[in-house]
Amino acid sequence: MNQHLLKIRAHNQPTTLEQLLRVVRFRGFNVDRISMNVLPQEQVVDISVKVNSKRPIHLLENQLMKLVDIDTVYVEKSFAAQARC
Amino acid sequence: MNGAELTLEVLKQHGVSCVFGYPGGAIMPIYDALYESQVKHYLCRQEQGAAFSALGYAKASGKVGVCMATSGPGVTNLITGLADANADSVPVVAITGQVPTALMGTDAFQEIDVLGLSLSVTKHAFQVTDVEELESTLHKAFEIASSGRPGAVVVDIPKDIQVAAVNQRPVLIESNPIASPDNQTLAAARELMHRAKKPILYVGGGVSLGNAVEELRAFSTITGMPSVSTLKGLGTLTTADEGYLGMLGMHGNKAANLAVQACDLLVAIGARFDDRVTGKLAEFAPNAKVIHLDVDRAEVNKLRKPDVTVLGDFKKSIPQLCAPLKITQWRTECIKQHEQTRPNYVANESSATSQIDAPSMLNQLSNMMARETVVTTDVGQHQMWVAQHMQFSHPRNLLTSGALGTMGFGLPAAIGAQLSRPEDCVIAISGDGSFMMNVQELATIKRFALPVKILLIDNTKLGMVRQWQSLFFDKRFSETDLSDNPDFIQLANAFEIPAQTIFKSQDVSAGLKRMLTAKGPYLLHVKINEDQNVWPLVPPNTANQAMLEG
Repeated sequence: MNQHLLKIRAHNQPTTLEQLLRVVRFRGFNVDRISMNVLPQEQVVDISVKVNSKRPIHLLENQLMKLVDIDTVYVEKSFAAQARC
Repeated sequence: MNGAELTLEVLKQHGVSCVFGYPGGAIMPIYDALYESQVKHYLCRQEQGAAFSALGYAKASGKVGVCMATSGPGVTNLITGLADANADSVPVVAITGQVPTALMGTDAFQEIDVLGLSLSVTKHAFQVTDVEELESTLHKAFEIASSGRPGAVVVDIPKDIQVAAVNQRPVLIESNPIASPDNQTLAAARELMHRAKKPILYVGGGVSLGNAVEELRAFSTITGMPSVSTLKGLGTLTTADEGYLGMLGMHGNKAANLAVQACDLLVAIGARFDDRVTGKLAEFAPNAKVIHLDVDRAEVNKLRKPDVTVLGDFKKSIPQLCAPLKITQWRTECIKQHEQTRPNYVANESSATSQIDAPSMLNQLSNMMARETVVTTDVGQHQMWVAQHMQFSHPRNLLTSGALGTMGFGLPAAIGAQLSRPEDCVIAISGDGSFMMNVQELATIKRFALPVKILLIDNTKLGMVRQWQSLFFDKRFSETDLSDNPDFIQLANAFEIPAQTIFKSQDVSAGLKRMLTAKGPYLLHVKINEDQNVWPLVPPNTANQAMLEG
């Protein structure tokens, strides 16, 4: 199992978090920790999610980028390195 | 103007002239607006039929297909069609009625969580809770459905939003053009192609979706690269190019599979290394470097890591890779292999008593039908025989459920195709199992007097499942017998569709001719032997060269 930390910025829609979690599960990843912060004036939400899986993280990253309400997905490289140590 | 009328206005703005659907309580205001609208509604007899008709319309025309359903069971019936559209990247917009906003979340009559249901099987789903956002949401739905890699989009509209007063206003929607390919990766791809001694072009359905069929044909001609196709790519290349080796994969041509296994470079365009194509993935094209061209980043390096990735618009990338290659010997080997492994078709008039050979009959039909004929299929043995033994002049002329493999697709898809291309002949080729899954749509054919032809290949079995039971489950034929099928002639006649059964090979030519020359709809019921199977077949999780040949 490898752990990864994703930093996501998305439109604040009622379905955003549901979509995110559905894709994480369906693509073979488990959530270890999640937090979100709504920025009401900008109608966006920042989500930080720690996931684990045997699968490479680019598979999840690319699928998340396809979601209409997600603007950016950033995989914390330094976190992955720490998690392996 | 109310929300329902605005909805139809937006459809008109997007060039939608017809929609497929089924009314019900929560969508009645939109149906009331349809009563006087220029948008023509085609009433199907079940919502799944409406969804597949919209799919057929979209696939045959390249336009966005539109379907409608009411809340609750209307939506759940629609879902299979939307999943099919999304899996095959077909642009479809579904408009669904919802209970009034005040009742949402109260388990109201015919209420269901449409967003929860549809998000996992569509490209996107919207629920409109403010009538002021209805117009922009509908425009976004069309943009999302048709841009990039196309797909299905749901717009769920509560009943109170449909009746609420609203003013139409200009809406600016940002479009997302497909990115241009990167010059550096194109140069790397050209370099790999230049060095290759045994390259193969692997063509998927994405080429047609990207409107790049002509560019792909030019690429094939200029490079001289031998080529293979996925099920959804059929029609992109034709037998006019003798280097085209046919379909690859589980039921692919022997020459196609052997060439891919032997190649040293695989140029995959608009294809996704599906398990039905690759067989045992670790042993697929084991000696090949891979160049992968796609518009969807998520399809690259999902199953097979490419050596070079070219993301972006095929219409721009493919022409930049066109250059003659020095591969005459390899091309000659591939063509020779193809010649040696072509199927031998039985002359159907050869014997007055012999049973009908389905592959030979389909090959004969392929030779008889007009070039722009649209063929739809269901799923099973007949689908693979169509793929193996018929030729198509364009991918839009073969409509089949590829990724999801949904039985019941063919008949309603033919309805949509016929309405989108009224000047062309449309033939639904089905099996006796699949045909019964959406047989209610015969009523739609009758209602709108559509000249859809139906070729029903009947072995009184769920043939493909039975074939697998025979090969891999010790001939334990569990629940695959359909010998209690209805009388298909009487069934067709009940919908005022003329029909005929043929049993013997000597009757094939006349039967096909009668079907093709019928002015209106026609059902040709073809009885075949229950033991006729699809060959070749690559057993699951096996390398493609280890195909069974019957």
